[in-house]
Amino acid sequence: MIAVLGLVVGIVLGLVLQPTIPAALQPYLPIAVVAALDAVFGASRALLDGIFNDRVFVISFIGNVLVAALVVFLGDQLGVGAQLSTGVVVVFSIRIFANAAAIRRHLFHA
Amino acid sequence: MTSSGSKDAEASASSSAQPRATGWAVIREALSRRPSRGQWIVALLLFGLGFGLATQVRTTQQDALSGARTSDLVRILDDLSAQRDRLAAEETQLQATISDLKTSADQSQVARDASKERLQNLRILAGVVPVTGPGVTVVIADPESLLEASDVLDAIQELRDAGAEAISVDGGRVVATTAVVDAPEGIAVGDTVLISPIEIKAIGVPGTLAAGLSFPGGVIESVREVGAEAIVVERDVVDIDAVE
Repeated sequence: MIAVLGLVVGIVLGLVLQPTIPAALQPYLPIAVVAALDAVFGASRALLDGIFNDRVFVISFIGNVLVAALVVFLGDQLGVGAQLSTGVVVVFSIRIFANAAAIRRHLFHA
Repeated sequence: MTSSGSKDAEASASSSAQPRATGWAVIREALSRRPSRGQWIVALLLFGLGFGLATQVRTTQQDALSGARTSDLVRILDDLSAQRDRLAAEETQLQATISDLKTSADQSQVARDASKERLQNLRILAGVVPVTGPGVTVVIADPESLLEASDVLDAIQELRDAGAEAISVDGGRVVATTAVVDAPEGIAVGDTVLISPIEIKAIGVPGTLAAGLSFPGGVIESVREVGAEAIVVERDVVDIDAVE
């Protein structure tokens, strides 16, 4: 419950405060958000599978974000930042779809 | 892994008899769970996710360019440069069209002015408009009606030779088709019968007109020989109101 509240409060605060992202972080934020979304979907599926674990979630969340940021950073340094960003988004999107399918099977048996 | 997961889910939701409600029961149970330390950490992470999500959405809505990459910006700049060049070329073309149209309009104006001037000249020659300008007046006193039509015609021809643009005799306009004849009542110029003193008005260069009349053996002298009197006056303004 408190986790859902945290998500809602974060969205509301982000909309209300309208913070400015530092220019250095601008390429990473969207990727980080997608990576975190993947972690959240994975956690939801694990919850339904009955294998949810706080520690695993925290580590996968932070790990996802850091690895995604690292990949984009490397891509930028190598001059293929745009392509790698697209790749990261594609991979996470596929995982999110897969997790969403598993969640759907759990909740609707369909 | 999936099979063991579902087994665990069933184990944790063993109170639910219906397999259909299993997933929902797990969610209900998770939502009503008492906040532990791990839950707080999860809440904190989700708070960060929500915050980042909302921020990113706002940034994207506010300014699409600020989030764009260098390569994208370069491409956008190239596109805009190409567009600007295209528009500049179009502007040049349109400017050329404007100047073309202006030139042709000017030419039409010049042609129109020339036609107007020609029309005015022709009207003066045809005697259908009043004329005002420098010229001469000739007054011929002939109380005994000694002059003949040919003398008046000579005077008119001399004035024409001297470049008179418009001539009137006793208030009647003289044009190309005006007849000068000896009538029973006297000399008739067009419809006008001349009565002494005869007043001839002519518009042209005053000096030239006067010289054309006054040279030795000219109109003035022949009029005097007949016995009449002629006076030529050069004027700056002569009005010929009579029209044909």
